[in-house]
Amino acid sequence: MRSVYTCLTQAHDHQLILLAAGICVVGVYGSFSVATHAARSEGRSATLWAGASIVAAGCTAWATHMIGLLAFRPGMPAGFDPYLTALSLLIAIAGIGISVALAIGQRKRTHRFVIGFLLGSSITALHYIGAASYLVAGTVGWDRSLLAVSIPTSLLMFGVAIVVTGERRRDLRRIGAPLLVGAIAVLHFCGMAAMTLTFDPERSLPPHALAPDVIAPVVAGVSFGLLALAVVGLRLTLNARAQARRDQERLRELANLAVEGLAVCRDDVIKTANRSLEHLSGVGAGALSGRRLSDLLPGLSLTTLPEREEREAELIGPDGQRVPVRVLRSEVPLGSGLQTVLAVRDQRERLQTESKMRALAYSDPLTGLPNRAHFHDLLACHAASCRKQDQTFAVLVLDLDRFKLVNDTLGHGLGDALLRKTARRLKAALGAHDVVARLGGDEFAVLQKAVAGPEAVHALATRIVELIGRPFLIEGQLVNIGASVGAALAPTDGLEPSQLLRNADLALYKAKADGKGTFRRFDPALDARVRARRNLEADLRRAIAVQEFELHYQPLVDARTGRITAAEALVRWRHPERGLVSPADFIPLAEETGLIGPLGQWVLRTACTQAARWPAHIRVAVNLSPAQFRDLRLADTVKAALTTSGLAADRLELEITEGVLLADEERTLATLTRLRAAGVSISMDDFGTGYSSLSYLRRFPFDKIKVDQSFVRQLPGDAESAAIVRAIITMGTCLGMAITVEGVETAEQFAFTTAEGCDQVQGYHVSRPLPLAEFLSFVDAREAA
Amino acid sequence: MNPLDTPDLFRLVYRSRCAIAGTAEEVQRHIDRILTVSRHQNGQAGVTGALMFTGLFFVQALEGPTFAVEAAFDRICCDLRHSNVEVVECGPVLESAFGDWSMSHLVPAADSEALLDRVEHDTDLADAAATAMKLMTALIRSEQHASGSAQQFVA
Repeated sequence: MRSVYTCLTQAHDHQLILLAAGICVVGVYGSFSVATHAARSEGRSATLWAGASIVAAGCTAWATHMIGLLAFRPGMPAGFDPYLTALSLLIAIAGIGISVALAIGQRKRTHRFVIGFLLGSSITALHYIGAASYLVAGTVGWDRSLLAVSIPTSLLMFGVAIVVTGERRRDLRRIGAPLLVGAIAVLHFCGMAAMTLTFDPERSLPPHALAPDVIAPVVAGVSFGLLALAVVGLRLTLNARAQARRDQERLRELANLAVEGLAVCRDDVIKTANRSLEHLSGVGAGALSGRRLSDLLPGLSLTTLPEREEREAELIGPDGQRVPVRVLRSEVPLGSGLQTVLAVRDQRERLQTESKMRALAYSDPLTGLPNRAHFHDLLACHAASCRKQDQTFAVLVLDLDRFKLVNDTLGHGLGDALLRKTARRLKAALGAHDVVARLGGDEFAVLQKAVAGPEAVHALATRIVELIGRPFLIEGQLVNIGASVGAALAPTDGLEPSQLLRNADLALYKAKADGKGTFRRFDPALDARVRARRNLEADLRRAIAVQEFELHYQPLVDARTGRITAAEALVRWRHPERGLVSPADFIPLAEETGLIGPLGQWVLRTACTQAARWPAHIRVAVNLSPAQFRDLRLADTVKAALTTSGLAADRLELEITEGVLLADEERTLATLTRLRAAGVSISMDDFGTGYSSLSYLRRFPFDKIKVDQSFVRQLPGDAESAAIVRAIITMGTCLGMAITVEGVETAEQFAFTTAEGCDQVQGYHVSRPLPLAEFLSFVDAREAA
Repeated sequence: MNPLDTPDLFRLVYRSRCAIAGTAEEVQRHIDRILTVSRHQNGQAGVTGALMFTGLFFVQALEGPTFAVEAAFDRICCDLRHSNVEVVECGPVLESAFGDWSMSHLVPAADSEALLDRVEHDTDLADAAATAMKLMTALIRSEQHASGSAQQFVA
């Protein structure tokens, strides 16, 4: 051991030893930094940098060794064998390269030890080949015992160093580098100490030996190369660190930008959290780090939370309030290794939106009452539960009388206010468990629960009618409306919600038909009536298709001469089962359903065709209903009927009631004017009933007025009727309009009307309406008389 | 509706039939409760007026800003303790006829029986209204003379 110490302190140039150490450190740093960069790189550049790192490591070992040799003062001329020197360098590079290549990804300790041993062997080879390349003018002797100790020791140290370098534990890994340096030091200095140089003037340096002065610049050049590489390595390392910092910063900014709260956790402890999570839990920047997750999200266990699966949880927000959240756990590779990241999503806005949407979907925005869809749900639900428990309940439907008028005349704003006030009053009328809904427009429905009997329904309906019948004060205006209520009581009036609603609706129609502001409960007779009506409608359609109608004619005679001047065409339905059906039974239905259109056309065409064959002085009168006037082509239809039948236009009289003039007066007057221009005469039928507005007579010059038969019935005994008939006759004469008196049944009535100056008479006294053949015989008989 | 220099003052007078069941004392207790609530709410809304109970009918006058009278009348019309609500008078007025009380309670004097009879039984609403107004304003005036007499309940 002493020789080692003496060797180190006396036989070496200390400054050069320090330089060797410096080059070693610089070289090792350069190699490692470049190797690290190679690890970060990919593809071809990774291979290149890895190669450079291995070459640099080999060069470092070689340069250190060479400087060490140069520092050696043997006290005699010395030189270097250039071939062995070069060989030692190659062996160092190859040995390190092979060792590193083998070491990558090596997990087994024994393997690593073998690799360390291999590395040690190559360094040992480097050393002793290097030593062999050192030529002196003398003899070289070796202390074999020292070699026998030092070489295995250093090899052992190499092996251990590589083993610990691959260990997981950081503290173990840390002693790898000192062990390696120690191994090299032991190898080198023990090797040098074991070498004994004896000066022998006989021996001279071989001719190919290179002087230290020659080899020194080469070593210096390699050292500068290593220095340069170290600088490059430093640059690369600094760049990499800056990049890593930037990446981290960007990651943090990204995390802070995220709307979701994010926390990186270890076990139950939060390591870092982003700004959203801090904001959500109401704490300042950085305040969440180190806090326990279970304090923030009570009841949430990170270990039992499945990965990538959202769970509902509650977060303790500012002031201890509980915030509904959804959490998602994921294992994310962050920096070195996997980290548990918890994403926390605030659910308040979503829940609010959902509840708002639910409210919008299920309630009427104007009144705040449940809407139609919601009412149906409630009704279905209640009906189902009542069926099980055999309970009774009632469905009431109501609509507002005169609401349309109020809405149209006073404006929609006021109409809306009225509906809101109506909703309030309806709620006041209800029992505690009853529900009122707005079905739409001015239609409301009530679900009355736990009804004791029909009396309870009646009482509620009465309250509703009473409350809605009270005046409304809106913006200083008094508005009076009313409510009509229809009700159906379950289970008596139906079980299914749809049936109950339909039956309540039928009852409502009845209530409205019976004079509004009233209440009706469903009655099976209502249903039967509706069914009968529907059957009649179908029957009527069929009858129009197969033409089961026929025309009867009632003659009109000249009051003075008694001659037949015209005949009124009256439609009859010859039903295959019911026989002759009166117009009163089907004309109103035909008008309601629009079937009057085709029926009216048939009447017109048939009357014209049949009348065309009558004596030329007999005209034909055809009734037109208001519904027919809604058809804009009416004038053309009439003209077409005349053309087809060949009937002269002046032989056709069209009879209208004032109902025709009530709707869209302008258009009706235009149609009438066109008809009149075509030569057709127009009569005012049923005059004296209804409004009997005299302004109609002024607005349109009717050819004829027909006095309603209700005035004639009490003639001539009733003085008032007589006065009215007389007045109408006088008025017609003054206006230049002919007067027909209808419904003349007795000789007295005939005598009276003739005496008062009436132009034409129609009625049973002359003849009842007759089928075509009988009418023609009647005409023949009269003409012959 | 009002000229700019006059405040928005609206008057509504209605007549309704009492629908409270029970003995006279019970009815009176109900009416006292109605008055208490009415005075509280009217006081806040700036509505003044008078309530007269004839034993069969209520006649109530409401005076105040249009919207406040509307709100008070809305409340009254949701009440099931009376029925047959008929508006006797309704429109903007220049000055108050029933004083500044949030709701005076008028009890008809014994000598006004004939007038009362007309209030209750006159089928013509206009006549009944005129009679009711006459009776009520007369009562108000007589009370103002005997200021603070026992006939008036002050909230």
